[in-house]
Amino acid sequence: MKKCTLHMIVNGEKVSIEVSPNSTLLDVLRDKLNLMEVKEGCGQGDCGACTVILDGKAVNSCLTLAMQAEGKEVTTLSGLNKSRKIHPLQKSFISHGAIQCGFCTPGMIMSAKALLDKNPHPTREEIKVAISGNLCRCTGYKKIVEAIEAVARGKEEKGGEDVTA
Amino acid sequence: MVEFDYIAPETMDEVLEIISRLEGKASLLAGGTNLIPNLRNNKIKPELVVDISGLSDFSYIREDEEKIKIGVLTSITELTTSELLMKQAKILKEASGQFANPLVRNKATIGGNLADASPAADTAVPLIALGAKVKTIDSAYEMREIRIEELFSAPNQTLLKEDEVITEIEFPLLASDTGNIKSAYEKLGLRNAMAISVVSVAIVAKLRDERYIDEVKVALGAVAPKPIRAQKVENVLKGETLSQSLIEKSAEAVSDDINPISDIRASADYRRMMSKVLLKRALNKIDRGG
Repeated sequence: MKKCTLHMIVNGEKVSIEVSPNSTLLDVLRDKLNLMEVKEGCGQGDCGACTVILDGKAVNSCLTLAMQAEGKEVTTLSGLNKSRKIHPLQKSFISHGAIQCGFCTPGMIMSAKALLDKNPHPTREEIKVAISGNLCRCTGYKKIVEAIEAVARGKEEKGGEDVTA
Repeated sequence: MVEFDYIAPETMDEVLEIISRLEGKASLLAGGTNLIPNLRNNKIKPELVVDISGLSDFSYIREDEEKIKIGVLTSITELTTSELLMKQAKILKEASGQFANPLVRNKATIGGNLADASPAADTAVPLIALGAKVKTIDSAYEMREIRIEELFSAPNQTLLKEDEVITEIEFPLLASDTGNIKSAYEKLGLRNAMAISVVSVAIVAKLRDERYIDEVKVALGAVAPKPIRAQKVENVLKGETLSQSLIEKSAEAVSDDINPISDIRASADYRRMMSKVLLKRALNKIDRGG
């Protein structure tokens, strides 16, 4: 098994890294780049805990070979607060109590982000469809949908305070 | 995960040369939504994974010579957002909208769904009803066309040779649901998202004088070793006038077309029963105007 060199942009930064051909994007983001917000749930595309945005599209990073990100842009949850402010979606999830155990949250927010980037004012139904690949075993869906809806309606536009404060 | 080498060719010529040289020891990677779980669970052990997802020339949906042509690497998301399919093949768009979930739809491709050859393949059912064919090419540059219902030989097996790949999916222009062409799609899963079909039905009918059935194609998924065309049902419907008693009669005939199994999702008996129910629902939809 020959090692491959992978070049990609992760959360705005260029990365060149040696990977095994059988590593998934999830493996590389967590184990090589320490992006622990990318969770492994089922490992087969059923749960969405590993959701990242790859060239503008929300995908399961467990169903993506790392080498498939060659030349592409990857955004994970921590890429949303580069400016040291929490993202409006994160703020809204907190203020709506849309977090229980928190395991599904990074994936939920990435699916929501991909939706709002394409469709800034989705209907409640469109929000439900957009997160239908993300399972919340605490079953906090109602608050999650409300949190996303609040951002879509512009109620959380300002974003949050300094994350390091 | 099994060990393998990885290559991402830039042209179809390279792909054909590699798969011919590897004689069955290479696996093609398009969306990867089935391939990667299979690699992970050691179900397949290729020496080389050939990533074709970057061949951008093979991702398109267009109208050409009275036909709709879809590139093999077109994603399911692209099928759900296509204006052309909305006008010309509503049932394919509908089936795509109910395919797995949005994360999977962003990666999975129409060609991958067909080549995977699941008995429950969600794009195969509307494609059979639309009279679609796949176009293929092999390493000797021989091309052929295979009707979708003839592409599958057994669960997860196709007629494709080791050195042959699908390049395009094509079906005749119907102008569906305008004028005399009516179509309907019904899927039953255990939940709405991420559900493998328990039974699915697609129908395309050409009607004359509102209710007389000139031509009809009926397809079912997940009720036989492969997605099937229901010819017994078609024979009952063709040349008759659509009515409640005809719908009942065709539902009785569906038992002769299908051969379901019991699995973790449903029993064979339940599938037999639901095949009738879904067929009736689809025919009633057509009766109401598609």
